[in-house]
Amino acid sequence: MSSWHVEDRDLRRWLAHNTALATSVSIEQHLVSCDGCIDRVGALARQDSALDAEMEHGWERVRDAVELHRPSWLERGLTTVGLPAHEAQLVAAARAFRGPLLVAVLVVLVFAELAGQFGQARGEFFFLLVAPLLPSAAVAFGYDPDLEPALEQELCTPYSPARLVVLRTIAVLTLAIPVAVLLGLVLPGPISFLWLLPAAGFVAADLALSTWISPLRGVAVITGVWSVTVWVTAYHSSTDAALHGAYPSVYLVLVVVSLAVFARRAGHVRGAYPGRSSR
Amino acid sequence: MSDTVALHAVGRRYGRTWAVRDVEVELSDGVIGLLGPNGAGKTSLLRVLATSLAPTTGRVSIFGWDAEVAEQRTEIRRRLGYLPQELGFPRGFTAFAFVDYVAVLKEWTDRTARHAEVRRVLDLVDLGAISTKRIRALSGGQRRRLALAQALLGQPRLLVLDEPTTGVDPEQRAGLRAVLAEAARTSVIVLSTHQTEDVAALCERVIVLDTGMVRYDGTVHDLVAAASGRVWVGDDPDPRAIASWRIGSGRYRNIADRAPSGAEAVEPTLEDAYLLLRAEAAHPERITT
Amino acid sequence: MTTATVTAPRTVRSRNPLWTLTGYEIRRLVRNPLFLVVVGFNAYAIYDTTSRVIFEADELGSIPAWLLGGMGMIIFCWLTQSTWRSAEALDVTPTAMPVRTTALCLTAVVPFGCAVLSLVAILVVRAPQGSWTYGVFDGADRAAVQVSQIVLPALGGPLLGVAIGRWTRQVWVGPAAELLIAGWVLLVEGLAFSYPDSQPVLLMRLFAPFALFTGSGDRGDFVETWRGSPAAFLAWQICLCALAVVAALLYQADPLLRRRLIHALFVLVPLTAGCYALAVTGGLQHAVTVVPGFAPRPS
Repeated sequence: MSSWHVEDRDLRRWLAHNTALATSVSIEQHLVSCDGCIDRVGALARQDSALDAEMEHGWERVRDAVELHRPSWLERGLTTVGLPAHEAQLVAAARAFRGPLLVAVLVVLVFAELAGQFGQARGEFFFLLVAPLLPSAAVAFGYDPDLEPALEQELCTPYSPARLVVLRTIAVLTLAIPVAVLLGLVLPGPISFLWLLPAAGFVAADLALSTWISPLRGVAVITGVWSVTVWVTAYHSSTDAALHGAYPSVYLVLVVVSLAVFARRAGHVRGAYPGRSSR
Repeated sequence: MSDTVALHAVGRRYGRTWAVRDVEVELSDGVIGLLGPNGAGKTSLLRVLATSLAPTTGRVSIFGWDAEVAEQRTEIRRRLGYLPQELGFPRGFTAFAFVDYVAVLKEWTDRTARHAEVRRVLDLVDLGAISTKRIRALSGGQRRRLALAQALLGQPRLLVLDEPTTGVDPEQRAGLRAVLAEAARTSVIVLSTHQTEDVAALCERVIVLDTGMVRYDGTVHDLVAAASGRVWVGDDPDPRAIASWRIGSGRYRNIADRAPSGAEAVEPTLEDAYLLLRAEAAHPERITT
Repeated sequence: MTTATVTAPRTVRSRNPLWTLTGYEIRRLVRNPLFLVVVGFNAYAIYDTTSRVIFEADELGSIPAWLLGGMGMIIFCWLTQSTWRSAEALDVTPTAMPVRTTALCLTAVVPFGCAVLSLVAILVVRAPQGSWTYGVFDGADRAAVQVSQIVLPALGGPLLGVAIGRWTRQVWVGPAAELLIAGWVLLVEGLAFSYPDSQPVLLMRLFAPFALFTGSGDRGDFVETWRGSPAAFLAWQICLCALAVVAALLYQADPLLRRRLIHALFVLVPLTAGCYALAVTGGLQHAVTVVPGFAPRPS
């Protein structure tokens, strides 16, 4: 190894960006392999407070680039629409936004739509049975306590569980509804969009039920009730009878009542404080 | 057939990181304690012993059977009880049902005998009275005892226990020590723990692991003796001490080669000896002889 | 802790716990509330449909298929996934994973048995409107249709559930797979109604674990018999069941077993493809419509 080392004077000028290009390149080349000179760079920099701050800032940026969490596409989207970055991080952490689950929900919805479009009466029945339940199932995966490994730590923070639940619900619906509407254009007749009414009702109902039982159990209850309803109405009337007559009003009432119940019992969400409201 | 468990130059690598390296030990009947800091490789070593993990290098011979060979590995597992560091439980099972299920997997096909054995091990860990309770309704300590119960099925010849006393209350820990001490008459028991008092109470032999390698393998008595004359209790912490901490009486316990002023020498504990060993390994230049 | 005996009582242990484990899993299955609901609902639905006149044979076959087969797939998937949390302790027992998987596969005999009972019930108490409800199928083809629609799905669904449960951890995978299969079957069935003679539709219709072979008008005024060979389709379903078992057993199989299973695949896959080819090329070459009181005619 060469015995030549950079002099302090040259190092100071280099730190102040005051050296010719050739000299800078020469110094940088030397620094790559000389620990002693690198140590002297630090010592010299600390003698100049402005320079020291600049170097410190540089190291901070290096650490940020290496250590900081990289926002996902969903977080970037949420921050774009105005959600603070830290809240976007909380929302996007839900299992509902894992790629495989989202793809599975989408694929099932596509198959249900195709079955409804081409599958005659049975296909329509299948579509009506499945499609309205998908949004609430996806929402339930967003905040079911059994799926959260760090639930206990989350509950012991000041952040409102109800707020987190609402934000995640909105995020899931924001992803699901446009896709559902686009796909609904494939299906002929009012069934294309009328199914969104029970879907909305079930999402709201699951939110309300989650103040008593876990969201996935709530979805199981809703699935049972809806299956019986669709089957009985199809048996006695027509396949899409559950979307006509008095039923749309029932779904609207379900939305309003469920949201009211959720608002009243928000303190019980995720078992935040069993037996008492956290307010 | 052999009566010993032997690890020959055993190593285990995850990617580029060696969790365990060049471990050469021979274990016989009795309780062997495995100590070491977090990340020392204790769990990896125990998993290799329990045939849950294959070593990257070296050979594992358990009672004469080679763990690499499938049929011999099955023979080993017929004589093995394993308590992992973290054991989950299937949903919807009661305590009895879970241990019963494991008993079936351990080839207890006769129903009457199996149920008698399940009750025996549940009584051993003091869960007999609540065996019909759902696991999700059990406390953390009770679940740990349940996990231990399944390891005790069939009085295994080799018991591998990874932190068996985590979350267990002192009274239960004392009971567990009695159970293990009795079992050690006819079994090889390897347990890893952070509780040095468990090792001191139970083990004649201790292995200290650090950064995947064996730093000490010998009797507890010899390890403690190495710290003799180097443990002091005084009114102030000694800044030159290898380790120094405040004790319940408000005084300070120091591990140092020379007595701090006003301090008196005390009998070393296994914990003192362990800390001294760790410090010597980390900073050999600080140790004066 | 108590001073209960540390020493285990001397007892006989079998080297083959397969049957004990199978019995254990069967007990777990029959105590599963969802399975009980499915079996109960299946019985009620069959009773309800057999208590009235049926216009078309496929009306009955679908019920056990969707319930015992489809829901059975989900239930078995969850049963299989339920023990993964304890995997670290269970995997070091002397009972190897393939044995545990075999026990779960053998447990499928329960829904299979329920489906056989369903078939018997349907045969005994059904009230067909007339001989045309089976389209133009004769005795052998008719039997093949009944077995392939009522019995085989109740076996294949659970076996597929075990395979999925072995290879995945997420609870939503089973229901998603079931919905995909259901959607596909309904889609291709609907296409068959619209294009009964179409070759691509035929290929799609029979490329499924379940297929209908007849369709009817809403008022039962005609029954359309579709293309394809029911007997070959039944063979195709059996091959699919075998493939599901092989896929399940491959999980954590030791090298020797894995080699044997892959050798079995070298036989099974061509066999399955052959059965599919026979199903597609055999049977009716054109869809035939049967109207009561008239001779059968091409659709």
